Amino acid sequence: MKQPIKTVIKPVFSSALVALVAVLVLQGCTHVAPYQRGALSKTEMGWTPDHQDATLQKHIYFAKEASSGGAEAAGGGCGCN
Amino acid sequence: MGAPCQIRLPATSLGEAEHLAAPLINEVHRFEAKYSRYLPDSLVSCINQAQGTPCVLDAEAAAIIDYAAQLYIQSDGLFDITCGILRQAWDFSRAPGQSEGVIPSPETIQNLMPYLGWHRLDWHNPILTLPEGMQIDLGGLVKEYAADAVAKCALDLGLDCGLVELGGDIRVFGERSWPIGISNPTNPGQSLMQLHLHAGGFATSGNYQRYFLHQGLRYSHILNPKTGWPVVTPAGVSVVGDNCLIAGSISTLALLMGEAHCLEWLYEVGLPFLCVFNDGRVVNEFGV
Amino acid sequence: MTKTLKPSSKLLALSAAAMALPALVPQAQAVAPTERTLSYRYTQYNEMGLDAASVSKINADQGGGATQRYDIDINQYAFSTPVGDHFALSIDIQDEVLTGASPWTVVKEDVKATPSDTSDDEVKLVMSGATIKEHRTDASVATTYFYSTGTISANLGFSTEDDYESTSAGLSWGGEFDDKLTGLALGVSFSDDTLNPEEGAYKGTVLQDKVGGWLNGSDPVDGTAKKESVSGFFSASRILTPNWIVQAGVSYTQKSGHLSDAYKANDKRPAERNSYTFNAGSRYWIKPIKAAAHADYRYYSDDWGIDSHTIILALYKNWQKVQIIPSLRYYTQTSASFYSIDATDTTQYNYYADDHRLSNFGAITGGLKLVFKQKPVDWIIAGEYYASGADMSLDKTEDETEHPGLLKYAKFTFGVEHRF
Repeated sequence: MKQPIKTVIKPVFSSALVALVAVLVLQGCTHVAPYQRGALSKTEMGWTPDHQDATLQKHIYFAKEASSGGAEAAGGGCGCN
Repeated sequence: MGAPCQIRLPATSLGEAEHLAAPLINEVHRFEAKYSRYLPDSLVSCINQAQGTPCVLDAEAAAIIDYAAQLYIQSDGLFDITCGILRQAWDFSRAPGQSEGVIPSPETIQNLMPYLGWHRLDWHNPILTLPEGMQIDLGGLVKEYAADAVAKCALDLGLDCGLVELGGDIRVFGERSWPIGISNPTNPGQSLMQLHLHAGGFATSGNYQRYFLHQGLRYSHILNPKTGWPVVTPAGVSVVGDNCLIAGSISTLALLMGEAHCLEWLYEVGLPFLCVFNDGRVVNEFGV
Repeated sequence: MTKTLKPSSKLLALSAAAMALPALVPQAQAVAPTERTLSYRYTQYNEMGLDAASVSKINADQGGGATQRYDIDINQYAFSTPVGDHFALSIDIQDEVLTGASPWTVVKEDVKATPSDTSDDEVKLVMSGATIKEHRTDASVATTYFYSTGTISANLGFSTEDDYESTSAGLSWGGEFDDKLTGLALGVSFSDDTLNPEEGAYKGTVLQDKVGGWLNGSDPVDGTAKKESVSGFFSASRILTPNWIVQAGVSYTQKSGHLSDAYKANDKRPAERNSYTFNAGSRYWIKPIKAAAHADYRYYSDDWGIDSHTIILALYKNWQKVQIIPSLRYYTQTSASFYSIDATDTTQYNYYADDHRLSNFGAITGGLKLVFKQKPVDWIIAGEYYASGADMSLDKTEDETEHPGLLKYAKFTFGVEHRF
């Protein structure tokens, strides 16, 4: 059995920063001109192509699992958790 | 404009499309009326007939002349809006495949050379003074710029997206990509490839459009202002750029560089391109 | 591009000269949406019934059959419209009806078939019974201001249930830099919730006698209780090639107030929870098959001891007028430090919970969505299957009994979207 009451704060920010820095370091490698962004402008290349589906998924997983949140605006709570 | 043109816009009916396109077609006509050297009342004709008198240009025309000056500098003098005078020696008016053209005598060309050269005219924005006997031809850039201007006009009118093609030079605008077919310059009926263009310009320059054959050699209408002779150009160069004017300038300069130096130039510039040589060799840097 | 081409100084000089031309002056792009969207979705999902062996005798004594869990029906309505040249407004409404039962607590029961049977006691679920019917309505309104290089959005949301109210607000900013190759976004949001747990139909029944009452006696709510959350995020995206864009971000959320579950028998949680996430995403256009490949990852960690990883993969494949979207999600979490399903004497601990959602488990979701594009209307059908279990967890270090409440569900969605 686990010992209750221990507080753990993982060094998540350090790993996050490493990844962010990795992304930013990639800058300057290539230049993609506006006229080359045809594929990128397609709706299915968006971060959230289906807004309603994403809202519902977030709500369902919030009710079934212990994790929530992410790099997006958080909504309100519900009595489900 | 002496070449087939098209404007593509999304619309629910032909009537609506015609209604939307009407002001855009007017814009094309405005460019033709202003910059064509064939129309006697055009601004260009007016400049060419000034016989040494200074002409005061409006902001748009002045900006085009400024851009032409920049093209002259960046191409080390190969792109020169004054070299139209050489047409008095070289006759490209006959259709391809017709009887052989006549090579002008060296004297004919030598006699024209003093009337040629950007450095000889006096340009102090907005005042342009052409020495007597000289003329300008904005053919290498106005058509391309007009495609951009029509696209701007459409955006200003609130249209979301569309395609403007003026004689093979294309500008697309808005959040949509458009398929563009490229035909084989050595066999215009045959399609070489297709690419999808999104918010940018596409232009093609080639020697298949106007040329003459002499003793089996294909002389292009692209003339070297330094020698007065046609350039042995690649068969065709297509370039994609942020706008049609840039794409057209780069493809025109590639032709001026000739078969020997065009690839070097195109790689140095760094825009996506497709170059077809007279022997049929194709260098495709469109990435498709 | 097959070859990386870099713009030369000559191109830059010509481009700069071209920008002096009236039609080529860089202008504020009309990025605001230009069409209205009206959209409706119906979703139904059914949590799979429990097998009778996982349920306590207490439920059986009550008449048995309480193995059914929630059946959920959701209606979603969305409307968005441009307002002038620079604003967009969107309204989202979600109406949800749940019927069924939920796990209330766990008990250890003697499962010996005969007096000589040496089997250990087994953990069994005590269910709330199959009579709960909850109705939740959630409405949110968002407005976005579009300017030449970015957007500013504000949103306000309300959610109401018989026993729960939530008000939330958020503000976010997104900008594009470096010739629109780099995107940055940041935002904050708040929520203020009020719980008003109701005495259920179990007061005075056998259930109350056996386990001590319907409402959570271990962290009682006196009338109403409050719960607040504050959250902030930052993310950056970058176009890498004409076919590839990536994103990474971090977020922090602090929840405080009454965080215990009011409808559990043994559930006393800390009054504060701090969580962090790191997420990364990739969108890649696979040219030969004309499909968009999505990959998303999230790492989550909180001071209740829960760490989780989520990976979602999806493919958006266009086939004539149909878009086919298969997707796969994997989730794994560690348990909360105060989670236990064999804490028989809870009084010795400050915090404890036997909620399956705080246990060590993993889950897989497989989905398939079809979008039929019949301009100006899109028809959508989708199906999904979710299964969770302790054996799917990535964390094998904890030798813990699987919580019998971990569930499976099947979900079906029908939708229609009209653009005009």
